[in-house]
Amino acid sequence: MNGAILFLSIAYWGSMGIDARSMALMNGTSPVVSGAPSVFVNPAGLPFSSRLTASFSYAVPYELNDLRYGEAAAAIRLKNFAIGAGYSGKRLEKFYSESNLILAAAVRGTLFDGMQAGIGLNLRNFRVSASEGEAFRRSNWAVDFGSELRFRALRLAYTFHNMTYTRNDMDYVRTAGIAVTRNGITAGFTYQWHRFYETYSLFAEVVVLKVLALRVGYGEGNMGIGAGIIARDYYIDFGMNEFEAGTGYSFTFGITR
Amino acid sequence: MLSILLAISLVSVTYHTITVDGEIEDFSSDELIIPDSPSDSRWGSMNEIFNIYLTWDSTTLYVGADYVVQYNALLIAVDFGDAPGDYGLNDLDWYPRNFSFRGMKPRILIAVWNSDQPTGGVRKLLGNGRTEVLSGANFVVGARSGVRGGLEASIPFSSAFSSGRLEPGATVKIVALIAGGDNSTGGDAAPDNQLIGAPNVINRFAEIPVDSDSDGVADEGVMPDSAVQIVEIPPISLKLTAFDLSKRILRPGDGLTVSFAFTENLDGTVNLYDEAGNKIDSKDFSAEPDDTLNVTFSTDALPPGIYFIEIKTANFVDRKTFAVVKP
Repeated sequence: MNGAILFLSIAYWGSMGIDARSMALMNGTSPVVSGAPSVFVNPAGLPFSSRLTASFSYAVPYELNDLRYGEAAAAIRLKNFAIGAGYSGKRLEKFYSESNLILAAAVRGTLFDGMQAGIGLNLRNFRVSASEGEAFRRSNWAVDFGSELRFRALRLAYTFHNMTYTRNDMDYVRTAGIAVTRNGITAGFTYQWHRFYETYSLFAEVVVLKVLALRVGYGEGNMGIGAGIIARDYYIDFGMNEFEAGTGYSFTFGITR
Repeated sequence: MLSILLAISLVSVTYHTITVDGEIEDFSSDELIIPDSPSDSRWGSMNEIFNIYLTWDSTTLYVGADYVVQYNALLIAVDFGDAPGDYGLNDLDWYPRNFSFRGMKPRILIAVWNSDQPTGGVRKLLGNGRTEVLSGANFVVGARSGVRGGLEASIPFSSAFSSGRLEPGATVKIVALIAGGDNSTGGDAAPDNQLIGAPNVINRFAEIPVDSDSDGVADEGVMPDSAVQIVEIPPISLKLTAFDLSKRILRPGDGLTVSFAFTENLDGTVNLYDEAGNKIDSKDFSAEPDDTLNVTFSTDALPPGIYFIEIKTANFVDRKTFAVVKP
């Protein structure tokens, strides 16, 4: 199976990056992410990929006219070790912006025959800037943690993302996920603990003839759908999901080689 | 003498108590308030409204419909003047249909699907999409799917009005509609309305005073067909003429005031969402044309980040973003 089809990332709007596949799969993809998008989701997925990977995503949440997200990431793997870098940004017209600059490193190893484990860390610089009224600038550093266990078709993952905006206002997202991938079919379940609420995702992906991926996700009464096309070393994804708050769309272009 | 007696026997005036049994013949010709063309439905002869009847006694309003539907719904919307209601039906929790009203605000909805008695009833519209069964109301369908027949309903004044009694000076406005499934528009209306666009804007209706002398007692000796008027309100396109947030960047202690105005009367909600799409707070509103409404939210408990305000009505949504920052 082309490694590209495992390029999934979580779509917790603007906090940890977003891509089209995660939109479709309702943000539950930490157990199956690999390569460049891992820096936004689960850095432990970095070494489970091709040697070079890159991805670019653009998203429109809830049909809001003045809010846009973009992200880009690249990663390189050297045997069992991988490093990556990512940038995600969001902007409210001209008066507010947030950005994350992420440096990631991860290693994988074989525990025993057929079982592989990976751990990864992000060093992330978060910046926020507001220009309406009194100018506001803040820059914080945070560390994210990710882990992954793969045994045959089974994938397990646990992540912790430190979403601290200020020193006195701790925020975080933790995820635990399980997925099974076999013969081009992936199914999984992920539970997420946010600071103020909890949520879950059920998702499935089917790859047809190694060129077309069809995706569906479900979580908390909301649905996501999407599709991707894989052509040699490139892939293009589209995803959308429907919340009470509105419909979101995302487009992703990726390279893997 | 005989001719006078005969004439009197053919004239029916209020108070007239109707036996609610689905037999439309219970109403007299003087209680026919909206005659409708037998061939004006957009959906053909199997989905037509022919006649709408209305009368009352001292405690109850009676509504009758002579109609036919086949796999469609018949709706009769009734406005009781100052009583609460809903300007739009599209967000109702019962028989949501894509109609909005200009000049009337339905308080009571009588509805049935495919002339199937168990699917229908009489409900009170409480505002912002909520409905509840109208206590004391009676409702019987005599028609069958694809077969012309009657529908009769009784509406006790004590249940229709919030005060529990007929409001002095009360006027009833009424319109009957044939509509498709949930959130669909209409195929026929009585009185006639231009059923175009989405939503269908209903701006023609029948209006009849029930307590013209404002003594708090329903008028006696009224011939409904003489007292009724068909009223037409000029249509106005629905526009949000103002939508402003007091601040787009909020700091601790700042409150957020949302100011907005519509060209049309309607009900809706102002919702506050966080960036992940979780609804944090919600406030209902009822807007009059061109009135500027101010809705205030406290943001003290909100963690830093991006949020958005949504103004939502049955047929309209607009949103604006803001951000909370903390030093």
